[in-house]
Parts: sequence; C-alpha cells; structure tokens
Amino acid sequence: MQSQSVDVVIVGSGVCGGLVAARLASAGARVLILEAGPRVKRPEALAQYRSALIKVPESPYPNAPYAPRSSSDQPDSYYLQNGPDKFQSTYLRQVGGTTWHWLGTALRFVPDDFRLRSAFGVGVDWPLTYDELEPWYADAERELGVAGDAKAALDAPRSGPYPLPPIPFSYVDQRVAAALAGTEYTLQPTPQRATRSRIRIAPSAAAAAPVFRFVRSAQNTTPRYTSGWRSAPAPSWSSSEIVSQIDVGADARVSGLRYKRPDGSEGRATAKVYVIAAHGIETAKLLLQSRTTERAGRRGELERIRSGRNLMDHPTILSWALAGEPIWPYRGPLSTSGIESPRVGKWRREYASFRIQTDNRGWEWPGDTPDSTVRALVEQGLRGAALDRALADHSSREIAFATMAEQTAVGGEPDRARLRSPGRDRSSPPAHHLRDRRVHA
Amino acid sequence: MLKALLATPSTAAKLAQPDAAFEREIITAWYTGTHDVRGERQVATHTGALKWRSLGIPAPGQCAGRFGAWSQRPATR
Repeated sequence: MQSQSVDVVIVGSGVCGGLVAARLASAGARVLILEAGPRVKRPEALAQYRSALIKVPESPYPNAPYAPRSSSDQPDSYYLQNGPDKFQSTYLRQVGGTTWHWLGTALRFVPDDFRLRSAFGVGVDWPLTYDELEPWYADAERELGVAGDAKAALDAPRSGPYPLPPIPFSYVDQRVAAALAGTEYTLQPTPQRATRSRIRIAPSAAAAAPVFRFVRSAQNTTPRYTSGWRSAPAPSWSSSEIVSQIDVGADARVSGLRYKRPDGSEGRATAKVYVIAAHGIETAKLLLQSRTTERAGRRGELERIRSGRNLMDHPTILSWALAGEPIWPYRGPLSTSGIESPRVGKWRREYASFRIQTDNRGWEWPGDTPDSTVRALVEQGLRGAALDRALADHSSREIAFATMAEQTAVGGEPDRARLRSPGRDRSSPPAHHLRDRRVHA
Repeated sequence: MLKALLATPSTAAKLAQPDAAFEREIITAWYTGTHDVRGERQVATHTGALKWRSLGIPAPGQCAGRFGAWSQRPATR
C-alpha cells in the first residue's frame, strides 16, 4: 500500500479544494489533493459534447465507473430517490470538479440569508454573519476572476469592486431590459467567473470567443494549480484515487485517509490537517460510510452526528414564450443577467426567496430546440427557403426564464440524504438516498 | 456509393417511388445533424447541421465573433 505524508491533504479538486490548496500552498504548506475522478482533456470534452445527442451540462465529460455520478437527464441513475420531487442537481467527479460545467454564476448570499431563523423564523441561522464572510468572498472572487458591475445593487455590500468588468448584456438581455422599463423589476448583469485566459487573449478574439461560448464546460480551475503556479512548492494532486475511508484514532482525531484506485491498489495519506471538499453529496457520503458520524455516548450508547441532513438545492421553475420580435438567443454565455430583487424582503417569513435568470439558449432547456422545431416544421410540409425562414423566425424569438427558489435547512426534521445501504461493502460506491426535496414556500 | 445504395433492395425500393416519411427523415437529418442508426438516434454532425445555417449563427461551441459579439444582432441579420 502506497503511503503519503504531507502537511494538508484535501479530498476533492473542485472550486473549494482548489482555492484551499492555492492559499495553503502559497503559505508554504505541502499540500496533496486526492481526486476520485479522471483527468479530462479539453479537446476530448469538446469532441464528446459535439457528438452527444442530449446536450446537458454533463454531456462533455466521462462518467467513470469507479467514480460514478448523476446526470441531468437521468436523475435516477445514481441517486435512489423517494421524495415527492426529484433532486436534479448534478456535479462532476474529475480533476477540476464541477467548475467544468459551472455556468460561472458568482452571486453572493445576502446578509439575511445568514440569519433566516432570527429574522424570519424559518430555517436555521448560520454560525457566522455576512460581514464576517465578506473579506473571504472578495478573496475567492479574486482567485476565480469574477466579472461584475459593482454599481449594480445586489443587496450584498461589497468592500471593493469586482476583479473584472461586467460581461456584456446579451441581445436577449437588452430586449428584456427594455420591455421591463417602467415596471418594478430591473434586469441586472450576473456576476460571473470569467476565465483569465479569456481576458489575456481577448485581443485575438477569434481564439477567445469559442472558449467563452463553451461556458458549459469552460470554467475549470485546473490550470490554476497544475501549471503556471506562482510559488513553490505547488500542490501535488492525483486523479482516480477514490477516498473510501476516513480513519479516526482512539483520541477521536482523524489519523489518515484510505483511498483506492481503479486497478484495485490502495493507498493511505496522512497529514496534520484534513480538508474534505468533495461536494455536498460526496462529502456527506464519505463521512457516513466512514462512520465518523457515530460515536459512543457517555453511557456507551451510540450517538449519531447528523450528516446529509440539510441537503439543499435551488428548485427551478422554467417559463418560456415566443417574443414578439427576434431577440437572437443561442449565442454567448448561457446566461448573462437576472432579476435579483425577489431575493430580499420581509415576506421571506412566508415565502421562499428567489431569483429569475434570463437564459440565452432559447428553449433548449427543456424543449430540445431547435431540433424539435425542425421536426414540427418538416412535419407541416415546409421545405427549402420556407423552412429556413420559419425555423429562423421561431428560434430567434424563443425566450426562457429560470426561476430559482431558495430551499431552507430542515432543522429538526429527518435527514434529507443518507446512504442507500449503510452496511454495504466499502469497495462499491454506495449511492445516496434522497428524500423530501422540500421547498419552503 | 450511390450504386451500392441502389444495389441494396430496401433502398432501391425506397428510391423507386415517392415516400413521404423517408423524405421527411432525410430533411430532418440534414437540419438536425442527427439520424437513426438501427433505431437509435445518433449525432452525425453538430457543426454541420443546417439548422445553424438557417439561424445564421455558428453552432454553439464555435467561434461566433469577437468577445461580446452576443450583444449585437447576428452579423448576418
């Protein structure tokens, strides 16, 4: 069994693991990142995206049998679900994590989000305030390269400007903003992560634009800690090493992490500090299957520390319509704006807060356009130039909004996620059992 | 290739007489860039599908002009 010893070992190479690794390595710590999934090369991802029949955010990426995950179009492929609604949020297991399919949306929470219980009597309060977290938001935005308009009031006070200027409104946004003029709603540019490489090569626009259009997979942090690292020593990292067990010593402190590789070999990593940054689902899964959530109580009875209790999503309602004029979607980043004001208000005592995201992708989600439009028009008998005109007329007027609601923590209610089969052999990855995707509404 | 196709009895029979369903299938394949292979829908081309030509924009994932070009109407419109 391979054995590695460092100052800090981090489970997961996504946005959290990447940022933690970057900061610690800069301070001189020896850092090891253990990633369960494979390393993905960009040209392979692009080829797989092009050949995918159903183009969902996970389409460009492998679903490794040794590090399986869910997929937007198959919400039952990994999770066993028994709640009234399906939990449809997904994540990636690969080097760089979900940054590869992240839209780049980098909205901060608002101060009230941290004191829901004390301000509105719902959910639970956070153990820290917005003001305490604000400098860390600013740090993360700098590391990620977030583009935004500091003048746009998003009800989250800022200590400084965004690192990058805002991403331009799409033509869709401009027409929607014009239509909203005179109403109580304002369309605002969404703070978004913009790849630094995009900024650097922006003058040669031909190279920059496709990278940015491919935002459904472009936002990956990998290069930040795999190459071009500013200070020595750079964090070391692995792929296809699946952490399967957190060992806990007699002193109730973590004594090491055990991991497996697809070829069956095993390893163990020890460190002074352990960071589990494996996404909301996989982190809870690892804690539960390691039984670190169980301990003997004072009288010898088994006490359970609850994990997976507060799994939260952003339940989404899609609305779509045909605009009265061409607004030309299917171009630019998938979304560049939203209506943010419903995130804040005294009514949160009674209703969930929400935001409305403007989409730049027509009815693609979930209408399978433009292909479904093609089929309908061909069925109607349209051919040649008439077909071209009708297809352009319909596609250019497709407008869609995604309304995303807050989901509160459950407090004393039953856990939302648990292991499918708690006693199962640890070599086979147990899927999560999800219940009650409940919305406070 | 055409000779080979015509030598296949089923194709030859299809081509010998007007077949509305087959014609729709071909045109749909041209525009969507997808086709049925033994009952399973597959992508033949993403970038070459005629739907993008109809819209006058490149297929998503391809260069669509300078940074921020999405703020304007498509250049061809």
